[in-house]
Amino acid sequence: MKRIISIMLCALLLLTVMPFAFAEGGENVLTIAMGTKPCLDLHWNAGSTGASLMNMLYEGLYKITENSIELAGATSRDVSEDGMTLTYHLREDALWSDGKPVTAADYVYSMKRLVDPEVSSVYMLDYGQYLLNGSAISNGEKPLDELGVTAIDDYTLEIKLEKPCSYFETMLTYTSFFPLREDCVTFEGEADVRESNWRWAWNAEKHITNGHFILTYCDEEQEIILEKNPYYYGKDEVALDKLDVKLADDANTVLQLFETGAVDLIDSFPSEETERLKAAGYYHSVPSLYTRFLLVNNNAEGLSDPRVRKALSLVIDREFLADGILGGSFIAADSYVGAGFPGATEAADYHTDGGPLFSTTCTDEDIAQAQALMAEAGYPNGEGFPLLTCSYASSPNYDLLFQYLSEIWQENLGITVKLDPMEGAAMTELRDAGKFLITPQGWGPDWLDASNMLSIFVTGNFINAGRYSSEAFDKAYADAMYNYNTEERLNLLHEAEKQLVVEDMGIIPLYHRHAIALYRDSDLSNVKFDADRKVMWADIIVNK
Amino acid sequence: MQYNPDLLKQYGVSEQELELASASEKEGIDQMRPSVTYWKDAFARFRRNKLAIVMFFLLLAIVLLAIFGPIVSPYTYKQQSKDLRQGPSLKHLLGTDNLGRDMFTRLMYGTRISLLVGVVTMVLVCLIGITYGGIAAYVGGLADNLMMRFVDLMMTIPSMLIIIILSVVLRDPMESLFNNPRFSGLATIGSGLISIFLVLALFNWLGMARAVRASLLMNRSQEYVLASEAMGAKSKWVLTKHLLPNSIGVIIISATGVVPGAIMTESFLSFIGLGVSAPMPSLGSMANTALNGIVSYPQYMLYPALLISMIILCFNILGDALRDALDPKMRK
Repeated sequence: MKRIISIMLCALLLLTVMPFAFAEGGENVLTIAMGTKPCLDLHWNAGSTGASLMNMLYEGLYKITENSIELAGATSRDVSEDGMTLTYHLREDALWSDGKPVTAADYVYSMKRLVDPEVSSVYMLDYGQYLLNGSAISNGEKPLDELGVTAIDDYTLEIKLEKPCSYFETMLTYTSFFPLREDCVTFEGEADVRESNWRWAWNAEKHITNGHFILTYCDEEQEIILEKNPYYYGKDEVALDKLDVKLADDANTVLQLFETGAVDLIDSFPSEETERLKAAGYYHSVPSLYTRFLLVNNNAEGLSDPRVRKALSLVIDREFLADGILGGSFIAADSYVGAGFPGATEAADYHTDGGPLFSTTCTDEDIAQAQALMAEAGYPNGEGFPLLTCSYASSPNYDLLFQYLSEIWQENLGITVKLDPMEGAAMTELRDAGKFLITPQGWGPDWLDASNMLSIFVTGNFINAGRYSSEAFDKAYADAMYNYNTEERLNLLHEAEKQLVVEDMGIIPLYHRHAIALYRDSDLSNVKFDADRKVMWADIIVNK
Repeated sequence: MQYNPDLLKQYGVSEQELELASASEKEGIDQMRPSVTYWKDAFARFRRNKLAIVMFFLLLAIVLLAIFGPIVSPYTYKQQSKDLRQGPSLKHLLGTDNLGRDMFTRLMYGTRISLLVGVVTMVLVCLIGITYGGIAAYVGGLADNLMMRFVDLMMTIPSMLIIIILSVVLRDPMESLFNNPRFSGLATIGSGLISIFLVLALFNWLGMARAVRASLLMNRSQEYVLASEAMGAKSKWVLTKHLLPNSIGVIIISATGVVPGAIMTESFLSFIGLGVSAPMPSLGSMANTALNGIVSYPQYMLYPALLISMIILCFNILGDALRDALDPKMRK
């Protein structure tokens, strides 16, 4: 009896493995794994995994290519003389995955949903404010119908802006501005519960999309399957037939899935493994646009003095931190905005134009200078400096980072540092309430322009939880927003950045991340990153 | 000595037969086995257990390293260097970790923390458990009944859950307590560690209280206690001179059982990030850190995991051996 049971169990086990063992012949199927559960609602997503999937499922007015952005859902656009009205002529061959045409009304619905206070989407205030009456509607001062987005006819969309914004077109590449079908969005459960707002998106049968892919299977605990959209106008150029996304709990599991061959490509793994994976030849990367920095409470005793913040920054050896301690998949920051943003000319890079703003290493002179700054600020050898508590969501990299920082700050500046690791949700709450002294934060742009990196430090922005506030910065940033001359505009942004991290050191930039694709060269070809440093899934060819 | 030859003759006894026995002759007659005390007997039985002796010396070595190692070591547990992730060398016996800290020093320090947790918890458990069990047994009646039902109630609570909740909840009050200059001495140990002591003691004294009560009740019904009381002994005398000394075996066995459990729980709490605060190492938190590079650097996981296992194995085997040795019923 025992034997029969064990044979049956083995057979059962085999059955569960079978589907992976025999992929359908001839189809170009890519299997990937993600360590975090993505959100599939255009207006509720704030994470990068969700954004990368949504870029495959949907197509907006613009798309991001390998080098820049170009029109996708529209064939042409007209700009009014004052730059405040944009008219888009939509392509007439664009269809939804149920065969219905994509019309201007779908764009209007999506943008209304973005600013609708009833929906209260994540970027309601941040991105909605650019649309005419957007902020007023979000604040409940005006009805939804007064939003400056109208469908002139089925294929003509008119967008009116609240204020001049030189980079608005780049912004339209973000998923919040993609079209959405009103009839597939439904609320299940209470509409005011955050999660039930995007639950509809997990229903693969009802989820209608207009991009390269359609959602065919969705199990929020285990996997998401995307298949080529038969109604997509450019479907012949989509190399991939099917994308199978396995959802795992943590980076270690994701890596195990890759190493056992269960998945072909992953984009995150425990950073300590970097060296080994590089040696094995699996590691492919490009510098990402993401910057990791320390939010410093600009109103706290001691930390409110820019000299103290500069001293804290001076003693950090960013190169040792990025290449040594964190294991080599990071790039030491020498400014806040990293490489990869468009510069003044076609070939130029914003970061190269601006040059380094501070040193990536720490020399003895730097330490001496830091100590002098501390003494100047009234804390010679750290005497009298209040206890410096570093709060952070516990994670392997943050644990390392802060143990390193606390040691160098204590040793070189003589201040007492306390580490306060906590659970992620608790940290988010503390950070949003501004109840911290020092905490890590990261920012990657939602659209390809340096302004998106700097916009979060304008006085009052919710991501600016350290309450950095500088008149000079705000002015330079606002001037840049109204300036349509690219070179002048970027110079103003450089000015703002210098104010932020040279004059004030309102935040302490640490390092940039690499965008990573881990795969075996024998399995995949044509793996590319787009200008936004996302893997271009649709172009991948699987040779297995 | 002179004997009356007539009498000798009358009984047919020779003079030699009436010689006093020599020492060697006495030996075989007086007693069949040497007189031994309870402790001598227990020690002899313990000594016969070879495995226990090996474990005892192993544990002794670990304890000595944990106490004196960090003092002798040229490094401190938090001293970082530019030599990251190095293999074993003469400079660093077990290499360095991902912040360039000496692995061997950190391991010894982590062991010290683990042992400290075990021992402090044991002492606290003894204090609470013996007092509680002693009172319940001696007072008896309704009070005993109520007190033991309370113990039963506590035992039904899933302790790990409460331990996790408490160690989170206790963190802040502990911290504000330590910010008070009067307790600044305790602050060096760390608020995380102190709350672990308290939390562990809070849930481990139950077994001890039960064992002590049972042993006291058993001894109390013995005749010698009745005799002592009949001769007018006060309850304090009976308790301290008769009951507790005769329960010492039970107490020691329960106490050694607490230590590995406490060490394991501490390691677990540190592993999920609730224990000691970094950079202070504990074996559990070191294992947790190692998780992030377990394929590339398995040794970071291996060292602390091996140490935890060894310490717990030592305590468990020693505990078993002590039970065998201290229980008179095991006498062959």
